This record gives sequence, C-alpha cells and structure tokens, in this order.
Amino acid sequence: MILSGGTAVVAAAAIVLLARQWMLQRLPEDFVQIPFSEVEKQPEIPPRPGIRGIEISGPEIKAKRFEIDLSRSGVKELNWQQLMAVDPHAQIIVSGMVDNQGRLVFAQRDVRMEGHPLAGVMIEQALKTWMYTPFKTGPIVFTFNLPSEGKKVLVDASDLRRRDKIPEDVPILNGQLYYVDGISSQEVRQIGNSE
Amino acid sequence: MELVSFIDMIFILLVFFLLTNFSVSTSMEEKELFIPTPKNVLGRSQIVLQMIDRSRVLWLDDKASQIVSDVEDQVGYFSSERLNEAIMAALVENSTILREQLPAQLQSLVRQADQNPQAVYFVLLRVPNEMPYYLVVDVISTLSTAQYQNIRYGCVAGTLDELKQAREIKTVLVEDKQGNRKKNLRIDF
Repeated sequence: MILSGGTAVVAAAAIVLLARQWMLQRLPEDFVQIPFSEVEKQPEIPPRPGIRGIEISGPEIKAKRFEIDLSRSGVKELNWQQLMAVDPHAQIIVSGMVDNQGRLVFAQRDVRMEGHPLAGVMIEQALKTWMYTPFKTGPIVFTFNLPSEGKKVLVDASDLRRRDKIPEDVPILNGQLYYVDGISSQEVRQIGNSE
Repeated sequence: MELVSFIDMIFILLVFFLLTNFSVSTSMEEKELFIPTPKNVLGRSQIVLQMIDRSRVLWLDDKASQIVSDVEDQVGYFSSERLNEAIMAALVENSTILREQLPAQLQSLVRQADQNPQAVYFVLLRVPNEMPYYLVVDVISTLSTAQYQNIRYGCVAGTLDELKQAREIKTVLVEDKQGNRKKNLRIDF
C-alpha cells in the first residue's frame, strides 16, 4: 500500500514536471532563459526628476566672431606687392571707427601719410571698402610699416567694445581684422582682446 | 518492508525539493531589482510639461530661458518675490498651450528626436494629484513612439502654484565638458 502510494506521488510529480516542461517549450525563449550576457548587464537607470528643483536646458550660446566680413559686396583687399612697388619706404597710420553696421569709417585727415602720398592713397582706397561683422564698435588704428623686417602691419583693436544689443553672456572672439594680400600672418600683429 | 517505506519517503522528499527548487526560484533580475527614487537634488530636463488644468498645459523648453532673461533685464531690480511673480506671469503668458494643441507639439518633439538619434531628451511631467491619469498616459504613449527611443520622461506630482512659490527662478550659464555654453532656466524649490 505504501509502495503504491509513494509510486503514485512520484508518478504525479513526473507528470507535473513533464507538463511544466511542455508549457515552457511553448513560451518565447526570452521568458525561459536569460542569456549569460544579459545576466551581467545592469539595468539602465533613467534620470530621476529631482525634488529640490528643476533645471531646464536652454539654447546653446555660440560665440560670435568679430572679423572682416567678406560676405559683403565691395570689400577689397590691399595688395601688398603693389604697395611695395609704389613706395617701399612708406609708413602709414589710419585711425578709423567701426560703426554699428560694421563699416570702417575715417576721414582723409585720419590717414597719416606724410611724404608718402601714393601709398597713403592706395591704403585709403582699400580700407574704405572694409566691412566687419557688426558685433563691436569703437576706434581702430592700422599702422602699415612697409620697410619693417618684422611686423609690417599693426592693428590696434584694444578700444573696440561689444555692441549694446549683444548680450554679455555671448562671447565675441576677434578674428582677422585686416584684408591684405601678399603678407603672412607672422608679419601682422593684432592687439585687442576677445570678449 | 520498512526499507521500502524509507525509500518512498526519500523519493517524496526528493520530488518535493525538486519541485520547489524549479518553481520558486526567482530570476537574476528580480533578485537584484533596483528601484530608484527621486533624490533631493536638482533635476535636469529639456522640457517640462506642467498640467495647469484639464484644458491648459505649461510647456517650458529652451525658449523659456530667453523669456526669463528678458524679464530679468526689464525688472531685475524687483524684490525676489515680485521678480518670481513677474517671471511666472511671463512664462504662463508666453508658454501656455491648450490641451488640444499638445498632441501636435508632442509629435513635433518626436520628429525632432527622430532627426537627431544621438540626442537624448528628457521630458518632466508635473501633474496635479486630482487630474485623471489618462492625460499622462496620452503624453507618455506619444513620447514612446520616438523611433530611436531617445525621449525619456519622468512624472511627478506638482501644481503650477508650487512653481509660483518656488524660492528662486532664474537663468544660469552652464558649461558642459565639451566647453559648450548654455543659458539654462533654474527653478529652485
């Protein structure tokens, strides 16, 4: 009797196991077995909304470049080779103002060309066409020292200031403030800070 | 005879432990289940949706910081309470949308996310307790349609009044690891 009882229990257990195995085989594989590679993975933790406060991402602030704006029509380069051919001993100083539209504005009296009128006129005609990106205004001084063996062009932009409408948190970087052909950047010195 | 009974008992015990071992054991993931909870820190998100009532939603995104910045420029001299009031008034006036407009706005966000699979967006939903949950479900189901699943979301209970009573609302300049600067809007409770 006991033997038949035990046998019955074992038989019932075997039936249950077989039934379970049959049910497992009908399940999708993901529900049956976790691949070893997945077992090691940590569940991804999403960002939690903090309860102390919220910080909402704003727009990216891109720096602006104050430089010669070649996209504007009429901007002409100063040809250094021609200038040297005309007057290789000239030293010309141009004191101008950059206005709100980015134009370089100066009068004839602002061009110091004592004894070197031809070179002075060439430089004046070229500089009158120069236009800048409208991010800074103020005085700017150009010194053209043709006989120099070191720095031949000096651009003093240290008194330029950002325009009022440009927010303080937007950085303004100084780019190339001269448009001269036939001269390398090592022969030019720019003075002035990016903001 | 006794030996047979003993063997039967052994079999019964064996079967019992075999069955319990296979049917009761939990999966590895259940054993190590991690349930994160909100922390008492500043939360960060790209978009905050504050359900005002059943017909209006306050949608705060990257344009909100400019709105606040304009108010700060105009009336920055106000006391902090009045400044907060002015800021919230400007945000509610400029950033509230009707609930009927919400699906289109969410679809636009989903399209933006689909066009930028590398970007990850986090949307924070603030909903008053008394509002029906199906409103939240509608929003979440739309956000979940992003092709690259790069829109994440979080839901918290909260009302517009709680935002209005925030200790401080202001814009802050932050710089990320790549050196990119952003003007974020910070609401400090």
